[in-house]
Amino acid sequence: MKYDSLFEFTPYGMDLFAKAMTGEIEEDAVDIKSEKVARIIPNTGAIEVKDWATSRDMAAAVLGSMAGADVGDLAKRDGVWGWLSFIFRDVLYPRQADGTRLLRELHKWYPSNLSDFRKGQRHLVRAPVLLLSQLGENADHLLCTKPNAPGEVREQLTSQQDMFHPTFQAAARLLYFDPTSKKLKKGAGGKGAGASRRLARVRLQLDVTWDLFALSAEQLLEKLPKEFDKYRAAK
Amino acid sequence: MRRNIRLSGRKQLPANSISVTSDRKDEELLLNITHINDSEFKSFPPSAEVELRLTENKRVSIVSLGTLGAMKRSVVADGFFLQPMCQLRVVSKDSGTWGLLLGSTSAWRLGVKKADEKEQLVTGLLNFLPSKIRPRTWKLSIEEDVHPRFEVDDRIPDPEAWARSNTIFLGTVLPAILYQVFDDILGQEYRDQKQWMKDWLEWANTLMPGSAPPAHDETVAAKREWIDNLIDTFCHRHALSDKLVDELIEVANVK
Repeated sequence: MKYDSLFEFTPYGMDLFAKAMTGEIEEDAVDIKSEKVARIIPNTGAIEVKDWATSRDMAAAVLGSMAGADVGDLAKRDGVWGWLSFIFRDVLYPRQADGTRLLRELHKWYPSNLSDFRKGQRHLVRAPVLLLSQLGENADHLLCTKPNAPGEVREQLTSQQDMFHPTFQAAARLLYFDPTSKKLKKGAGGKGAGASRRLARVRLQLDVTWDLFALSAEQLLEKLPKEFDKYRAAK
Repeated sequence: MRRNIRLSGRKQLPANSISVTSDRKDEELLLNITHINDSEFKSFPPSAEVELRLTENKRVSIVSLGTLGAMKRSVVADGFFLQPMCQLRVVSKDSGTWGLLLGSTSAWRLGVKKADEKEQLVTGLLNFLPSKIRPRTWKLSIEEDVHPRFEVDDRIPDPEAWARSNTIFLGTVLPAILYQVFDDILGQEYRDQKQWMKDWLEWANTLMPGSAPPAHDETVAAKREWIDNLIDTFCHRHALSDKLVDELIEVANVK
């Protein structure tokens, strides 16, 4: 399915969207061509819904259609992310055997307040788009999984506000992303020594000693304890 | 092998070390340094860099104010930020200690309007804030770096005094707030790294000395039980139900 431009749900449209996603009303009842339900976002281009291999591919497609608009401004508009969730629903929230959609938690499909530090990064469209927009290739390790399965590495490495900085994510990419296979290194999302869960904790400890924002990614890696050696060396 | 990294001798700077106001001009946010408490910075070398860390809506930015010896009084920040969380940081730029964090304040929310400066001065466990939250009468906001904000409908006369003294509020709403705050804290793996969470846990320890809170990966039932015990202790200490019942009986008798 291809759309000529991006749209955003009106408040009425958001209400219908929420009801349709949870099965209160039929999805066909959300008439996205109606101005009462959704309005066009100026200066945005076409977007085609595909079975993207990774969140990065999906985010790149969305950013491509946002090229003429202010992504920072769109980030704060819930209607944009509601509309995208709705048109991407078969990719992100597929139907289960019983006919209901696999929604998981609310804020994976219904955008939370963006500033909510626990839930703001959960949305399956908004989070990848913002990560790619802000971090570029430094978000590779966060966006290399299927769009509907963000995984533990993204969960851990977006759990603190200060993680949304290129230096930290560049260091994390060097640790956990294999640029050859374009996949995460084995164990990166686990609970073992040096895994992303530990990096999240160690970052907090380093943060009270060093100005992590002033360091390069390589300098930050040098300050990590030995337990991270296996990822420094791993391919 | 896992180990905790030894913490530095970073100086905790008081919030009033610096006052910052902000103005929006076109697409930019202008930050103006209106006051600096020089005595707080005496122990740092003039070559140390002073910076403001701004965070809001999943974006973080560092704004340099120059060095302590030649500090700028006005800087421009990314226009993306509206009312960001703000933290003052002093960083060594000397070759031997380059990048070392010498001092920092706790984070506060930058007030875009002058009227919001009051919020910067509130540093209690729970920050009371009159807000336009109708139709709700109160709302609790929990953020990453600052003590929770308790917002009260600003149409209530003297809302802070009301919230602190009204027996109905104290006996019914406050326990709910305690539950919400501790439910949040106990679910956090990194609670020991966040000052506001440590403050709340220290407060809990004064009520229930020696009763260690359950770890983040303990069962929901264990956490609920601990919080429930805490609320029982708090209500008992302040005789909240007695005060409420007494007041209700008094009102009934007057009628």
